Amino acid sequence: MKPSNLCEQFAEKLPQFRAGALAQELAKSLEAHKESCPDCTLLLKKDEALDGLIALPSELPAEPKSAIVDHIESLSESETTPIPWLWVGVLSALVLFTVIASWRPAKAPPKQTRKTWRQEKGLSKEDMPKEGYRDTRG
Amino acid sequence: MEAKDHTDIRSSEGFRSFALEKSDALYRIASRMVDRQGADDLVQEALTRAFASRSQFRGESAPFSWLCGILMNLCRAELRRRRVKSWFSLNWFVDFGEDAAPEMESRTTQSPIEQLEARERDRLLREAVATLPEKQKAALILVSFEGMSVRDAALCLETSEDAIWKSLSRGRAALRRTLDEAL
Repeated sequence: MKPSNLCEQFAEKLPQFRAGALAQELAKSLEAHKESCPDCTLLLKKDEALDGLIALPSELPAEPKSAIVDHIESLSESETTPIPWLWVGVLSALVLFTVIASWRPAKAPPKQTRKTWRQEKGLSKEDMPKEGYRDTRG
Repeated sequence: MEAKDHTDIRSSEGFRSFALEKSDALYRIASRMVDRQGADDLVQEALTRAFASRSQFRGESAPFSWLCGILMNLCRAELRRRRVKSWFSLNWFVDFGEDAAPEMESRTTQSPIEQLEARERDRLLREAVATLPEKQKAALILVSFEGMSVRDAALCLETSEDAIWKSLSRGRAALRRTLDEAL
């Protein structure tokens, strides 16, 4: 393996290398490479310095935030009964489906023919004017 | 990370004492993942959900990893919500707001200049972490900042240990670059 590849590998595996989480053979090979490579030695130092920076006191609260503490103390069974959102969703979908499925457009009134008109008026066939007859009396 | 018998947290009292013990760590995680303003609400919501579903906890992971998993999911949802919101409001600025001036622990051994330097380093570090991609940020916060094991972090983030190592490697490289330029 070329030294440049080892440098890349060293950089890539640096967290595992530092944590001792690499296979023994690879760890040995990277350790040997680090000893002979000033770039990788510097990289390791920079990574250690990063840990130093992370470990510095930050915005870490000295005590848990009071709002959170109050919340923890107020946790009780009645307040935290989980809403079964899945079931709420399934039921809503079912209701919506039923409404849509049962909807039908209003039925149009049956078409009126001479026959139905005659039956409605209680007239016999003979009482009916002949087809094509037009009342011109005004 | 201290492992606690999972049967403890199934009782109300056990859960409350466990949550109190871990509340500062949860707050730190949420404030680094999102920000200080949103951290309070996120931790409270995570605790409410965890309390409600504590009977489902089977002890396959450490209780803290399980709790962190709930918190991390909420943090990621909040980050997504903010991304969408900023997209629609065309607010392209990173508003560090209150975060720009964190309430650092006052350390009497530090001179005012040292305190100022420490505050500046802290700001740079938090800004650098804030710019990392979500996965790298999450892995870094849990493992490098909170000292969680890679196995627990993988359980918490529902991913593989290899993926955590990879995210750590990339995240730390990005932090080194950013801080190299800034310091």
